[in-house]
Amino acid sequence: MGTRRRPPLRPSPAWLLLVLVALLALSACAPAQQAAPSDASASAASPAAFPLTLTDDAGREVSLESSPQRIVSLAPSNTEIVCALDACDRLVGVTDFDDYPAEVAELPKIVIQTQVDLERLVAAEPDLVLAAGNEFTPSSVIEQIDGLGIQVLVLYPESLAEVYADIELVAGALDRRADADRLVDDLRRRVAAVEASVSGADTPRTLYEVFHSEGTTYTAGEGSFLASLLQLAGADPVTGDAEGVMEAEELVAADPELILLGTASYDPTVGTPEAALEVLRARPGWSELTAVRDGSVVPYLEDIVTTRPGPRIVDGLEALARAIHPDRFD
Amino acid sequence: MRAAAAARPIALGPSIGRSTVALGGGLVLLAAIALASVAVGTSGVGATDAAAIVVHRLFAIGTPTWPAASETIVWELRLPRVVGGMLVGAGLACAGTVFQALLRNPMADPYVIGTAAGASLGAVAALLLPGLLPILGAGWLGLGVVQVFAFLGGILAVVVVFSVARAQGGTPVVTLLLAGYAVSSLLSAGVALLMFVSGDRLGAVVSWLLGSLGGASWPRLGFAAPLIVGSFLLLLVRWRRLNALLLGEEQAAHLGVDVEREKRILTGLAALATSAGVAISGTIGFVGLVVPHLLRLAFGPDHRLLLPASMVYGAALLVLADLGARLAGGIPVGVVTALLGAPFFLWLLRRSLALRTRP
Amino acid sequence: MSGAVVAELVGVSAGYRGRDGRRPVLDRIDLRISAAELVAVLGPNGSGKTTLLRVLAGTLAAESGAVTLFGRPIERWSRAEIARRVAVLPQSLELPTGFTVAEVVAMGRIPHARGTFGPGPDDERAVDSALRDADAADLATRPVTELSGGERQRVLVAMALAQEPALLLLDEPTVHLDLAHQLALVRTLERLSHAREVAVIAVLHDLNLAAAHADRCLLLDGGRLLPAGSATRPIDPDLARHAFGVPIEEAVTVDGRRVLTTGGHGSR
Repeated sequence: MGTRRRPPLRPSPAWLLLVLVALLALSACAPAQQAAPSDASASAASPAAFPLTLTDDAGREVSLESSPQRIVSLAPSNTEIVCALDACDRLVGVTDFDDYPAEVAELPKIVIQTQVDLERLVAAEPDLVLAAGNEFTPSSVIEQIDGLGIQVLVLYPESLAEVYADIELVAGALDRRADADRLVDDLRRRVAAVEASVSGADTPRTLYEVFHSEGTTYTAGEGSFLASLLQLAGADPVTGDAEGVMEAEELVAADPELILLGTASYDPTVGTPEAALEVLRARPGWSELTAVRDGSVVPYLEDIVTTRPGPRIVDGLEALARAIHPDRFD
Repeated sequence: MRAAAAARPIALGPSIGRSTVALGGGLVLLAAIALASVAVGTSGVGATDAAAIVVHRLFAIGTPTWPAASETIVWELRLPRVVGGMLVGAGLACAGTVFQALLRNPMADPYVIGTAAGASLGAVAALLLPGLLPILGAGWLGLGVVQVFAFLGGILAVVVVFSVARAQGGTPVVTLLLAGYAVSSLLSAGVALLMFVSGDRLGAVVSWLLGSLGGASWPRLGFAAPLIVGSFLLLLVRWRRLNALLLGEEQAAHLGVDVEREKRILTGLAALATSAGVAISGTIGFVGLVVPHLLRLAFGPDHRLLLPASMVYGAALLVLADLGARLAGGIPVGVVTALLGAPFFLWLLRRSLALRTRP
Repeated sequence: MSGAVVAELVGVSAGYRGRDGRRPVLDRIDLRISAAELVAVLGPNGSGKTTLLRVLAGTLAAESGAVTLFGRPIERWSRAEIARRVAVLPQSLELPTGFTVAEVVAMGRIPHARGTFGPGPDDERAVDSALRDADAADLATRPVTELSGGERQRVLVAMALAQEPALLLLDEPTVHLDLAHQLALVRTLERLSHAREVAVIAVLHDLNLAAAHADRCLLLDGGRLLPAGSATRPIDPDLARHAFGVPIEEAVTVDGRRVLTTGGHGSR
């Protein structure tokens, strides 16, 4: 590489490699895609990319004539993806749980208390709706939106790889592939950094408490996204059943060495380690847990990013790693 | 004992004038509530636009001065909900009236012989089984399929109840009630079991069970409307037989009613209307129980007026309840009818206790 | 009395007693009813009077024998056809609340219903005359829940008359009536049967009243139907004694009429 200034659109080997990776990732989740960027010139709008057929996380084929300019998001994670791709200005409707970035709080609320208001949705005149899978947006609602002739893309990532894929998917629809590539690249790098930081450390049996009520603990489900994050963060996750439900008996048998209280993000009564320990000791059977005896209980305040499957999930991963292996980070 | 010949004829039932006022007034009320319902919503599409849109769509009058979104909102979202509410409300109230006469039990509602439990089991099975048995391939069968399953479930339950209650020579009313209760309990247990294993679909199941008109759409109404309207027409002409049944089965037989056959026909038609309604909206309670009582208080027990009145006022009531449900933040209309219906029913009960005179 | 045969029972057995289950309530009875006659059926409780009426009304099928109505076997009649010719006044009937007397009487018109939408002039006329004939015209606009026992009875009679039957079956119609009304009712039945050419079968308890006004009296005893007197022949006290199982003796009134009365030392 000399000092000669390269024309902006001329590919460098590293750039080409990234595009290839992006292509591979995209092709993994959108095999029916008709147009693929033939070169690295993805930073400018490429009209050749449309019309486009994508396959979403629910296996639905969605055809787009042109890049949608009015987007309604039915889940905060979807909103964050759109904004991370620098297309925040295209959003015309969000949920009442949306809080990031700050400006989305001003947008019209289409989903209120998890209920999708179809009238408001139609009134917003969207040309694309980003729904959440696994019944967060009920299938009946998706069917109704479909029936109204509005395109719906269902997103439901269950792992980091799927988050990247969803980012690529949305980028494909929004014609923001360059932003996606940059974003995914950055995320991957940060994940690798976390892995490197915790490599070699002991992996404590860790319970991440999402919610607790009447002797039943809600934690990471077996094989779930949260469980994989805990593993990446250098822990041995204590998991419940497929839904993450865990009864007191199973918990005592699993005997976690470290407890992260995700509930501390919402409940100030467990906001300090001392207060949290008191609360936990009061629960029947809990005082015998190793974590409680050793005082290894962490009020964890980053629950939102740790459980929201959007671009900031990596923030969550980093927070987890810091909470589990504070000695490895400074 | 010669009685003076009456100067004017003695009334043998609700007079034409009274009937006209009752039904006409009901229709006016229904129209007003329906219009209000179409004119009101969360998206700010106003009354004048809404009215203009409906007129434009129905009669091709007027040029659109409104955005396409408004037309979608009014024609695809609000209007099906209102029409659905009318069909379901009328169906439930009418069925309730029929069952109260047939079973000679003021506590009878359209669900008493198993329609709700059967329809619920059908709908819940359709909602959950694709998830529970992945070999079925499809993840979501679609609201249309759920609707058909609900309808069939309701009808099948009634057939089972009727068969169970059949003894030689007939189907005694008390046995019918008991069999209805038993079969409903069994099917409800099935629903509960499915709910327990429903996992992430639980929300969809609960939503259906609470009863809501949010899923109404023209194709779904197209399935249910002929069934409901058809059963209305066939029921309306049976008013005399319903009156006769009020005298008891034996006396009705002496008045020429083929009681066993009539029971089957009335049950079948009422179950048809109920199941088709439940298929649209899930199990909405209290409408079928309270409306007949209210109307009997207002218009008397003669089915010549009571039956059509139950259809008109039942429709009006449910559309009104749905309007309230929408304005209260989109809560299921079944919750509204329960919240309003239960205290109302208690009031009715107290009032009828106070009024009851024994000869 | 002249008149066409309205109903005929030949060798009819019907109804089975619960306890011994073998002996039928009605045991091979024969009966012929003609138009324009008033027949009184007498007998102790449980002797099968109601069963007899039900067989005639077609609501109970005979176990054996032939039942004919107006010349046709009863099995060939539909419920609706029977109701147009035969009216039944049951022993007791709870009247539904919310109706007026006229409205309830109008229900008697159901078998003849013409229009889909309501009563016609024929119905109004029939109800009117039924109310008058049953001596209930002054009750027409009263709610049925406000009637005394006797008034109720008259209303039920009116309802049966509104059916304009050719055969009228009354099951103990005098039960709630005071003496005056009992007499009035039986006289009305007598008058109606002759004036309207209706065959009337009434189950009565008062032997003397029956004997005085009915064209024929029949006694049900042990499942058999026995002729027991008529306008021209008083009821045989021995038959009555056997049927009712109580001492019954005959007496003669001041104006020479023979009446039966309980008491006395006549042996059973």
